[in-house]
Amino acid sequence: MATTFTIDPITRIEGHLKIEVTVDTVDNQLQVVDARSCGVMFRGFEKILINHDAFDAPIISQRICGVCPVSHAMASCLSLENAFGATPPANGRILRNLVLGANYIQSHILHFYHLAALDYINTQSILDMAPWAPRFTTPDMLSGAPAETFVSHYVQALTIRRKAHQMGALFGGKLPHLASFMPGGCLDVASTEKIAAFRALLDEIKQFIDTVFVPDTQALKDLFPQYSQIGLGCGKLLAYGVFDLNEAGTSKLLARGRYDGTSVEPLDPAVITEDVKYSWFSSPSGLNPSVGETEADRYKEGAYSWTKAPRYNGQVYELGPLARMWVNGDYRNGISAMDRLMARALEAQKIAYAMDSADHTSGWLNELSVGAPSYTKPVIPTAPALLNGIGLTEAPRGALGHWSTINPYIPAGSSTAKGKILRYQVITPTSWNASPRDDQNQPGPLEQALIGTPVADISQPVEILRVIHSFDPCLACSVHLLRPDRKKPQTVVQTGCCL
Amino acid sequence: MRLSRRDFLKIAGAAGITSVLPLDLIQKAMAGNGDPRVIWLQGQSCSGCSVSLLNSVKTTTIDDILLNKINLGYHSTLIAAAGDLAIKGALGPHPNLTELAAFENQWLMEGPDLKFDLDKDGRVNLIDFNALCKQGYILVVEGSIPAEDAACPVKFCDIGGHLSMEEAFSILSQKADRIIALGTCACYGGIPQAVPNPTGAKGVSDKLIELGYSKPLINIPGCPAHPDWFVLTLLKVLAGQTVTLDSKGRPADLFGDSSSQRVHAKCLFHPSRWPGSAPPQAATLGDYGCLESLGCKGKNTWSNCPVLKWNSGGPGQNGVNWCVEARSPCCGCVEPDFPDGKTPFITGS
Ligand code: SF4
Ligand code: SF4
Repeated sequence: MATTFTIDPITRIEGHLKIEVTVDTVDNQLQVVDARSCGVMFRGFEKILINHDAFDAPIISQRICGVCPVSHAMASCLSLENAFGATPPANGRILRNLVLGANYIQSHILHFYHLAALDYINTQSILDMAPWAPRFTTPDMLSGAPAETFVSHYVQALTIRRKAHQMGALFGGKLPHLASFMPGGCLDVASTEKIAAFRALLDEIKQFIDTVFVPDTQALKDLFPQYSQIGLGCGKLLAYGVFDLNEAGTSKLLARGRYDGTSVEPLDPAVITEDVKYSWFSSPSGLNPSVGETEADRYKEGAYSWTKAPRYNGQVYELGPLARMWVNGDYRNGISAMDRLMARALEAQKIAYAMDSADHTSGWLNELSVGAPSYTKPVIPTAPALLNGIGLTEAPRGALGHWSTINPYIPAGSSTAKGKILRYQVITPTSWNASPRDDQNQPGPLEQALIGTPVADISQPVEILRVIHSFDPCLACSVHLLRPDRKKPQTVVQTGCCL
Repeated sequence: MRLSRRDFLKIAGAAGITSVLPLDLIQKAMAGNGDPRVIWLQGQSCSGCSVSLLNSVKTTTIDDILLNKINLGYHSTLIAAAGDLAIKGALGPHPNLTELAAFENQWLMEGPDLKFDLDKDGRVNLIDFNALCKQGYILVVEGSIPAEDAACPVKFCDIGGHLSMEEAFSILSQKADRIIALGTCACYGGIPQAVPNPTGAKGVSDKLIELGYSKPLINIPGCPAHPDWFVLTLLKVLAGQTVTLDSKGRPADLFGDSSSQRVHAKCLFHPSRWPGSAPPQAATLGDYGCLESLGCKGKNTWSNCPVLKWNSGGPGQNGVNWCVEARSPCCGCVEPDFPDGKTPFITGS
């Protein structure tokens, strides 16, 4: 008999996410036969942004997420620059890449050591105290000496990710929630001292990535080979690409594109739509975000999530480090729970060395020219009457887009135009990965990845957590067991990247 | 792994932490009967304040806080347990797995109607809320609290275990010894409360007024809150020291009401720092100089950002940067009127 349960809240995810899972015996093996991913928190950012001055957008919209604020600030700047026809000077582009890269590294390290690895390590005998206890402990978890090593790396990783943030704050002003990204570039400037401070921190971080992070991830992949066959998902990968290497944005460290299951193809943002059949929104379904709407409706029948269901040409795509590394040709070993972890660690390494080569002679730090401007204030055109902008970039957990419509006007007594936000739409990566079903009833990537996952002990569904955490969903996440014999159906809670 | 209190004091001394905090304060904080229980509730939050806390180092580091100072009962970003285990962690002292299994049975049977302080005859009552209240706990709230419709099963913010943020807050705040609202969303509503406030979001003090509870509350605002603001205040609370509050409910030494405590008064471009000449003025974004004409809110913002700075590199060290030093106007993120009263953030040509 099928048993439905919810893991609620799914902890170790930033945000609020709930996963409802139905488990049944198939071929003598208890496994997940159905899954529903529910975003369980709503704030209404897209509404709050309306009527704001355009330059408020990077500051307000980065507050969508405290783990990837730099990506939101970047997407917002790119969207407005696209609307205004503005291009930042080279130093501005490079400084923004450096701050973004620093935040990628802190996010990837935080994800592996503090959010994901605990699903595989039994820390009970080492850390028998909150917040590490109580916890699930299953027989397949690592214990003894390997677990102790992991715990010591957990503590070391706290320091390293803090230093990654410190590195980003050198040019961001502060982290999380930076101050210096504005349409037109980066307000902070490159100085010899700051470049040296950045380099010193980066050297220490690179050493940790090379000697601890990548080897630990590889070790986990080798120790749990079954997880290279679990959590396969939809098998299609999509990346907007990130880290512009030229002013036009035509060359990127991680390229734009999509893998349709057979080959890597170009990406056309015009065929991205968001379905809302199963989301608590009354606005029309299937809209492209350039004309998107967000009307909340908590009473909507049949809905189960505060996230919409983004689709590419009607198809389900997975996003994240694995998608970026795959599209770029850096990692094509497979698509599974472990491959997601592995691609994430290798991506952190790739970004770290793009910022500064091992011998310090090439990389973004070297391309900065001290004393050159990093900011050019955009001139807002007054024609056409409405300006539309698309800002496509990547957050650590996947492709991120901001779509803006700006109404330019000239305030009384001024000769320069200002811009007011008329429409603002955001599609977060978790909105794709943890999306609910779409109008065609196709489950989202995480829902698909969960189906087929074996569960050894229903009271400790750690296998499910491993699959969920491999996506690094930016949601405070919960999973609940729904059992038919209980009086009341249980709900599940966890959210991430909710707007 | 677990350091003894004596070990900690040794390391703290060596690392220079004692030069920041008086030694007797640390000793008092450490000398309590251990395990000060902290319950951390995340409402409509971006998790930024949690992430910021991970950056704590000037006063003490996050691993030290977790290992030695507090018993963090429930915090969804860090906690090892998932689901009901995590919710239970918030409510009872370290249950074992058998107890948890028994509890889960009861929880699933009773669902949302289970009363935390009801003793069920013959059954393990894991959520021994009375015992928890006797022991006492500090409630830390991150994120705002939306207005739910009791008749609607769908919540704007569901925190798990069948509880909306609104319900969890009303239960846990009633019995908390003290509440710390962390970050501008929790203190004053912050961005979720901004016009048109799509979810009826409120900060803790407004919600307490609505509920009719009067509770000792400390506001530590900031978007996000600076980790050292939180750690310093928490240590004082644990040491039994009185935390004097300003007119906005914030620690008066870190924020305050006097004009000398404004960001402006401490800023590198304040005229007092340019004897004999006028401070440079930035004419347009990207320029070096005072940013007042470009929208800086430093004259209407009270905090020690210019001195403490952000993202410290080590014990006793100030941070590496802050908004104005990064040529970015202060956006007034620690004030009750953030963001609506502070926008447009950028002004001028
Ligand atoms: S930059 Fe802002 S805080 Fe600094 S002096 Fe000018 S107005 Fe005051
Ligand atoms: S300087 Fe102003 S905007 Fe920046 S963190 Fe401090 S209070 Fe917030």
